[in-house]
Amino acid sequence: MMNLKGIVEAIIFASSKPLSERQIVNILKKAAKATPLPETEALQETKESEIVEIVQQLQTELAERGLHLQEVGGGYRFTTHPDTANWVRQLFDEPRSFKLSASALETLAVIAYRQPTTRAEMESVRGVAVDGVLDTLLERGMVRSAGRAETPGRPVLYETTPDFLEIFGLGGLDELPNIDELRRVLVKVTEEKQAQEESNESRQTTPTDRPTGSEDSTPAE
Amino acid sequence: MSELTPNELRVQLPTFEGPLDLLLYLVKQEEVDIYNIPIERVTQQYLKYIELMQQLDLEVAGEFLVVAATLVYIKSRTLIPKSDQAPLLEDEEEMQDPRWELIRQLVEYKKFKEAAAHLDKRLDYRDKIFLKGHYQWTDTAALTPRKGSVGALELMDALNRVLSKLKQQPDAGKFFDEKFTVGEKMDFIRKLVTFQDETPFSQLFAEAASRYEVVVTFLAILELLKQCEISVHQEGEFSEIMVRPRDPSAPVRQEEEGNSDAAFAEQQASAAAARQQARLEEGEEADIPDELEPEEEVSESESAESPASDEEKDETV
Repeated sequence: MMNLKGIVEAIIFASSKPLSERQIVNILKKAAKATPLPETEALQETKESEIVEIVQQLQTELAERGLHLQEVGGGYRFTTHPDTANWVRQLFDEPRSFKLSASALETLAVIAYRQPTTRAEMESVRGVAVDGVLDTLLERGMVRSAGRAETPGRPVLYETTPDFLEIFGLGGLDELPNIDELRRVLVKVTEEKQAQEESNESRQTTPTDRPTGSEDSTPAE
Repeated sequence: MSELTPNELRVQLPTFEGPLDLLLYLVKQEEVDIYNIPIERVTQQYLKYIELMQQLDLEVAGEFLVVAATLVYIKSRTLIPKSDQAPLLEDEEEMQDPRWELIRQLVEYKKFKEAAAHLDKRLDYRDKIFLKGHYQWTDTAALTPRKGSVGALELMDALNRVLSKLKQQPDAGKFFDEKFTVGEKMDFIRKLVTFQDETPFSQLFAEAASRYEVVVTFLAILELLKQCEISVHQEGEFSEIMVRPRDPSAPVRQEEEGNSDAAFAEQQASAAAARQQARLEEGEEADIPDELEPEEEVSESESAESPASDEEKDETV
């Protein structure tokens, strides 16, 4: 009979997107309902903490293997080991790169730390216009618009996407380095921030809008 | 740039992302504390650099000049005795030192530049790992149209046919309220397309009464293609283009992306709102991979409406 470790490994492997502990626990429950057998029912009460433990075991066991179990965007997925890149790359005809220009990275950093944020704030932090790079980031699906601020001119707000977390291998926005320091708006912008908070509140009361902020990083349950 | 002489090319200018980047570089060169910038020296060097840019015929962006003006202003203030200085503006009151605002900006910029460097490292890592058989977003190979797929020209032809039909209608030429947004049309198409396996391209325009509506509908189709929510197929030359909800397991194809970018930029806001909404709705279904669903293949967008829509589908097939 297959043990829990092997089952968890298989589930993560077969999934097309990262799976969180909770999703894995739900799958175990679902399996017990769909095919009620002693072996499936034995696992339906599995706790999330057990999954975390098992994932850690798997990660240790995989340390010297070509596969890597990565925690990303609040879930786990299998990737190839980074040290195998020179060989694996040969599988693909076209060179592939996720690299961004320095200006795109700076703009992305402002959005990541200050989201939801406006074009004006990006430009004030960087001291230059961001039109072109913002388009690049939108096209690459790393950022998206998050409605409009209730400030004069109703500027469009931008935030990062779940894809952003996946691409950058982040478990959540709180894994960005220095998040507490950089997230806070220091001087001057307090008025704007208040307005933004007000707008956040009003947007959250509208049922058609998504909630903003870091909750976004966790997939909908 | 092409007119640079070999002599000019020899000058090695570091490139800067903006005036703050340049200022940061100068401060670093001076090896001074960022909070205690020797304004005079830095201003001099800053202006020298801008001069150099002009000599090299590089276009000096307006932003560089704004910071130059700020630097000169700060310098001039420090030259005038306190008693003779113009009263501070309201928002300047708390910052007795006129350098403060600039320093604050510099410090903040420095932090974000460091954060950007950190993100860059993570992309280095991302470049070295590979996922099972698919990429996160379309690479250049996927941007080239493949045989049998519908390219931008075919879509344009189809659009022209719809527009020419419109001219024959007696209603054409009358004025209508411009009451359609790309977002609404995307919802409309989503519903129509998931209702049956295949929808003829022209059927998406069946209700369109004005040129404006046709254009908005077309933009909505392009946007949905870009979002990979639908795909377009054509059996042979000149046959009707069929629109299908995208099979989630099929490889991503985004041939139309390059042609429609300009249009998207304008529509970004409204379209993005609809996209968010769609993601929210899909989120609940997308949770668990399809392979685990007990039902047979039901794509994410369809499963929201099943089983009712499944029955409908069977009739139309």
